[in-house]
Amino acid sequence: MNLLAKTSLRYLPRHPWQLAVALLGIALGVAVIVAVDLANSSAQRAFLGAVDAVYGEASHQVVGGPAGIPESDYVRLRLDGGVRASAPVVEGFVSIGERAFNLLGVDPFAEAGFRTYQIGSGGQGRAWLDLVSRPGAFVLDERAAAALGLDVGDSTEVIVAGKKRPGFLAATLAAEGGRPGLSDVVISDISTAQEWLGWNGRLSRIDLRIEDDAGVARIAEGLPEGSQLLSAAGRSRQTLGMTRSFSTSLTAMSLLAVLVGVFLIYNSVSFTVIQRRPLLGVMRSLGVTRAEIAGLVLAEALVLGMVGVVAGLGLGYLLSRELLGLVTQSINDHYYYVGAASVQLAPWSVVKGIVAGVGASLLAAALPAWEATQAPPRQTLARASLEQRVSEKLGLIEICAIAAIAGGILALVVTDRSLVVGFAGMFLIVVGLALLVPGFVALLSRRLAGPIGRLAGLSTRMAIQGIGRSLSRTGVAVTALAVAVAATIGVDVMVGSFRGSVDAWLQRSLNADMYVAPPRLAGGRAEREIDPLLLRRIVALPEVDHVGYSRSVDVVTSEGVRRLLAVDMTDEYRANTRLTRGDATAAWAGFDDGSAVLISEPLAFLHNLDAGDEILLPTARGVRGFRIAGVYEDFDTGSGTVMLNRDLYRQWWQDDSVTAIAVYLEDPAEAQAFEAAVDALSAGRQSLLVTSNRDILKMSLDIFDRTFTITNVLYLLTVAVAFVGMVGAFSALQMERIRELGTLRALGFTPWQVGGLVNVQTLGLGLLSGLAALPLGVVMAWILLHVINRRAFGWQIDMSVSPSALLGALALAVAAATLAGIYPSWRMARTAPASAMREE
Amino acid sequence: MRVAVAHNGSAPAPSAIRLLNVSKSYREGERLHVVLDAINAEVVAGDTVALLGSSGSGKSTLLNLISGIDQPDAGAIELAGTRLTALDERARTLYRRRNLGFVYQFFNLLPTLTVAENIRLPLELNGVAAVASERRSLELLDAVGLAARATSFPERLSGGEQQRVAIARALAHAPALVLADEPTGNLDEETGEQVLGVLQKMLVEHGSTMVLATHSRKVAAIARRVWRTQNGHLIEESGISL
Amino acid sequence: MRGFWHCASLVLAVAFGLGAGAAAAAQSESEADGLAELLGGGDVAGFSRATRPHPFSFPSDHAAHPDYRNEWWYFTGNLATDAGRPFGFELTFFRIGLNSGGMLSDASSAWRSDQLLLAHFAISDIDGERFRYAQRYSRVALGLAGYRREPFSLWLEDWTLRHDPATDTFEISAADAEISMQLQLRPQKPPVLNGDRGLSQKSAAAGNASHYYSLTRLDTRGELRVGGANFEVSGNAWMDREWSTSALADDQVGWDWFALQFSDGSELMYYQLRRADGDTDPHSAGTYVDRDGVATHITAGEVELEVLDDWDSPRGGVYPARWALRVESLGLDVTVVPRLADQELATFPRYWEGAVEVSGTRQAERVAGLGYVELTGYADRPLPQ
Repeated sequence: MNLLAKTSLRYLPRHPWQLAVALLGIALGVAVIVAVDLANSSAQRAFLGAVDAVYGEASHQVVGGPAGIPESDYVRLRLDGGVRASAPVVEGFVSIGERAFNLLGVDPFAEAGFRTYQIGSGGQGRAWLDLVSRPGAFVLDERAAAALGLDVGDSTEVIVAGKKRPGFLAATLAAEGGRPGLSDVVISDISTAQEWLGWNGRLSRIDLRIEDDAGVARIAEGLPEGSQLLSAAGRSRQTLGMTRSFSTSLTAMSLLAVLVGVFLIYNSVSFTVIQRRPLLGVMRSLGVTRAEIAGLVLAEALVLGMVGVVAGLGLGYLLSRELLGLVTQSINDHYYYVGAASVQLAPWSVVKGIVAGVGASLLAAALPAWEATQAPPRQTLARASLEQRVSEKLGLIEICAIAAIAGGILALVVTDRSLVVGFAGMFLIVVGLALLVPGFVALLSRRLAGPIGRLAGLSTRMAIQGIGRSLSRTGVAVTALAVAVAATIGVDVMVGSFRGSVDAWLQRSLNADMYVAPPRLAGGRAEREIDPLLLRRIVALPEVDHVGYSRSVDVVTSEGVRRLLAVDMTDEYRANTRLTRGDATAAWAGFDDGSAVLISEPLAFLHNLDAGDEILLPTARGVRGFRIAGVYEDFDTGSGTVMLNRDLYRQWWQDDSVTAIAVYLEDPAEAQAFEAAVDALSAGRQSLLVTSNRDILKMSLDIFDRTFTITNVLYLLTVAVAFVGMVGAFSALQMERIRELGTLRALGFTPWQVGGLVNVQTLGLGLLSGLAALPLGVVMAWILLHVINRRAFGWQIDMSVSPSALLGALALAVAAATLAGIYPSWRMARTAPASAMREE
Repeated sequence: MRVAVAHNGSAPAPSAIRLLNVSKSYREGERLHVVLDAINAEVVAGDTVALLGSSGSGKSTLLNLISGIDQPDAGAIELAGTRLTALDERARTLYRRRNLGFVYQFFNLLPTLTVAENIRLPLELNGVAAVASERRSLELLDAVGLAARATSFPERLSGGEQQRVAIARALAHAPALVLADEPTGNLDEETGEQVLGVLQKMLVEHGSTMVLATHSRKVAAIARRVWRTQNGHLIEESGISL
Repeated sequence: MRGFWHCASLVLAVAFGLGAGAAAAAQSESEADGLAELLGGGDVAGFSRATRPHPFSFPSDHAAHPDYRNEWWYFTGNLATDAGRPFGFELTFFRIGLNSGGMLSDASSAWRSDQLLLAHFAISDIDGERFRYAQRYSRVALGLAGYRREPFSLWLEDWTLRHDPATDTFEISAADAEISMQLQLRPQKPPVLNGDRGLSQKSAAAGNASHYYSLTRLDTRGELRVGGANFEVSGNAWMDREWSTSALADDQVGWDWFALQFSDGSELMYYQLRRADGDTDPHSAGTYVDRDGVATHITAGEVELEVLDDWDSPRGGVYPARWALRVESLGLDVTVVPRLADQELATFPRYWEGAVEVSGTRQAERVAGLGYVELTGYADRPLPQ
């Protein structure tokens, strides 16, 4: 109906505040969803791109242990085995200037069909020949070269595992051609890579392109002990698996934002419906059917939704750029070096944003639309009955709430591994508790009105009673604020508890005075080693009392990458390692005599392993099962660590190198002297980092904080969304009560007094929603810690709720509510009584 | 009671309104308030009836029942032969759309539509094309003397003007029955008389039946019959209990 | 000299193999310029140059001369089964020395090398009218490819070349998905030194020359596998050997090389260097070997080569496809006709190397024969006028 449409379309612009709030809510919700999705997918793409660029078109790989594969295996495979679709690869990390790169050492003559390179400028074919014949020659992406100020032919220093090597740029790769992930890769001939890394005689892996299964079987059989054949299909899965928990958590946060956005929209739409009740009643009396009314409201919401979506998409794109930086930083820190990624506009993200925005609008408008149909055709149905109806409805809401909470608890109890179900359960519980908030508000305002009124006077009592009585309007606003504040409590407590646990764990673990290791370029790969001669000299320094050696390597299994931590266990370390499963005495005995290993909490949880189980690991002498004697506390972000006796490690992996040492000084005050001595010994030989336990603690916590920056950003956004909603809600609320307040003015209340009344109400609303938020927030925190984090990362964290967090949240709620109410109450106070009295 | 006029030997035209043992109570807080107790009444087409009573005496309730907005707890209501109480909500809404017009105390014009658009609304709801409805609304506006205000928004009109527009709107789709709830309640005496005059004139022109709820005997005087609600009963002012 | 092409093709083929598609396309525009620059430019330091005739001694000179930058072993031949089914074959091994600046040491990785090996293998199935080829390339390291002195052997993964000094027999073998070959070849005449006692000058600049000898008639026997079928074959082959540290001159765009074996027991080798302006370079030269193995040097002025027909390559470019060859001083007047039109190796860069039939007269006597012709520098270029 043309005219019907006009009635609503003209209504909204007349109430720009409502319009703005609704649009803002949708836009923000959509923006957050789109931003997180874009950031996630762009980061993943960069991650996969980085991994793919390095792995190329290989269908399979032959990999070995930490010491790689003998190069003779490749020759044998190629000559005797006749496997011509094979390419040898040596990988590592290097840095040039301030920048870190993945190093890819290849045989240019074998690369056809594996990786594609597009030579930019400089020598074309000649460049490849130089790579083979001239030591130190390498190739870089032309942008990276430009960023480093290198021209083709320039010499430069390349730092590998702390040692300086001469190098020169033989050619650059064109920026457009080839795979995007090559921008953070230094490509060299195998010979150069081997020489730089000290890997003469060894390869990191052999890439293969095998078409048929018979070929795969044949090659697998012919492999020597210590090597395995892995398929590339599994690799992407594993790669993504590493960051899945991370990205799932991010997505969940974005859904939380949408949830608040939905509240916001519901807020606005239902207010417009409630405000127009009389008009809707008139229309009903004119014979507009319920279906037509509902259609009208939904159509309005749809139009709002679409406009909001457009704004949200733009906002989301901008936001994603910021978010992406944070996400890739986290990936760099914890998983793999991906360098700087750029936002790739994925159509799918846009679709998600649109669906979320439109869906949220329709969902949010559904209830108000239904409510609108309940607007009785206009006669003179008294207000009191309306409130009655709402009060009746409250019973229904409570039932739904209980059902939701029960459902959520059931979900959490029945499953114990699924992260997605964990989030779903949390969502149900949160929604259920949120639905209880209006009832809570009603109850509390009724109970408190009397006592407070006795203290503060009649008008205050009126104000407080007004809260409870006008539940049809205040309920939603209070709930939205409560959920937002609860989210801040939840995340605050979670992060606080987490940080506390990590801090405590670090303090326990970092019990030596100093730690010495080659610098770590990026998260993940760990095969650095201290030059053996240098090591001997350092250990012999007079300041040293005793030393704990450790070797840290990654091994590749068919189920993913595992970190091996081989240690010479010192008493201090032993005393400070907390075993959460397994009998301590037996476990340590087994560890010491090399008959068993210990695994970290995350590994135990994520892969369902326990003390007494066996874990299969690929060694230099073939795959072997190791008995697990215990599970120890660890806050690693990878897929788990296996800690074993260094002798056991040497026995099976035949690797003597040392990654890092924990130094216990004779006199802790000698720390600086020690550091100076190490610097003097290592100068020119290998770059080593000497860090005190305090510094490591600080660095680790910095990484921790950095990781949670994202979380902070997201929940701040959530609060912002809720705050905006509050402002809108209160404005609408006060506008609604124009007549009532006008009456008060007519009765002789001064503008000041009326304003004060309004402020008491908003204060009261803030306080009540804050109080409701407290238990809600603690519940959220508990679930986040014991369900979400546990299932995502396998960590075991003790919850500690600081009173300051709770008080802070309460203050936030009150402040938000009060601030939100300032403008409306000021407007209200200035309205002349007469105009207020007149029916709109 | 006017005798129903027979039309050339065919059956007599059905009554405009028939109430058959209609009962209605309301719950307010904890109390049960019986408003109508098994009422029977009949209104002939073209008649005007005034419902007299103070606020809360049940006249609004009766209007709600007659218009089909509300359903009685017991009994049946027939409008021009159609058993309203047997229809579902949607059917009643559509019936209302076609056959009823309302005039309210507080005018209740839709503020986001112009004066002319307000009058067109019931026409368009009944499927009249835009051009025809435009024409008709202007005709009606002319009839109530407000042709010049066609494109104004209601907020710009005085109370009396708004009510006149409301009257035009009520009769736009030529409904058989018009219900008026305190039509002059929000107007001063002089304007009120003016408005009543317009109302009467329009009724005569269109031949609609009217039920008018009011607390003022003066206003009730324009009706041919006067009913009063009291203790759940309907009493004709002539003293006969219905 | 012919190997220059292969040298370039190694370098550029490697680049191509690495997927420099666009770069390659850009390359072909200036192939000739690129060639000259690539092969000659810079990096000749540390290599010996052919400035004076080399004191040849066999069989030791069959082996590699790593002090020179480029070197090749070039086998071509016409074979047939007992039933007469004809085939042509080409197997070329090419070695390139890289300038390592003397930086190889014990500390070097085993992959570090200053020698590369490249090979082309082609079989012309005349009856089946199909031409198939394959290529290999590798660095000389880790036993993947390499060569030995005594007795001389050379291998590139699974392609091999051996010489047995006791029987003076060469054994060559190569295999790929569709074609494979194992042949034993016995020279019927002693090695022939081309040019001035084996010093073959390519252009005016000193040092732009190579040491060049040929075995002009090798009795060949062996097995071919073509398209899934095995064939026992025999026939005559030709081996070209050359090593140098030089390049084409700036204005040389390619050459036509002929190796013809006549029915009267004599052979003719002739290469014509072509210039950018369309003229024949005066350094073009050839050798005639009579029945007894006596060699006569032929200069460019003695030879009249007329193109009678041409062939459009489906990959672009036009090749000459029929010649009238006249050498008055030899009384030779023959027509040379390719046995199969498309014998182009679509390596990068492309070149044509194919079996040909010869017929005509020598000193008024009818003479026939078979041979091989190599045509380079025609891809994407029209025939010079």
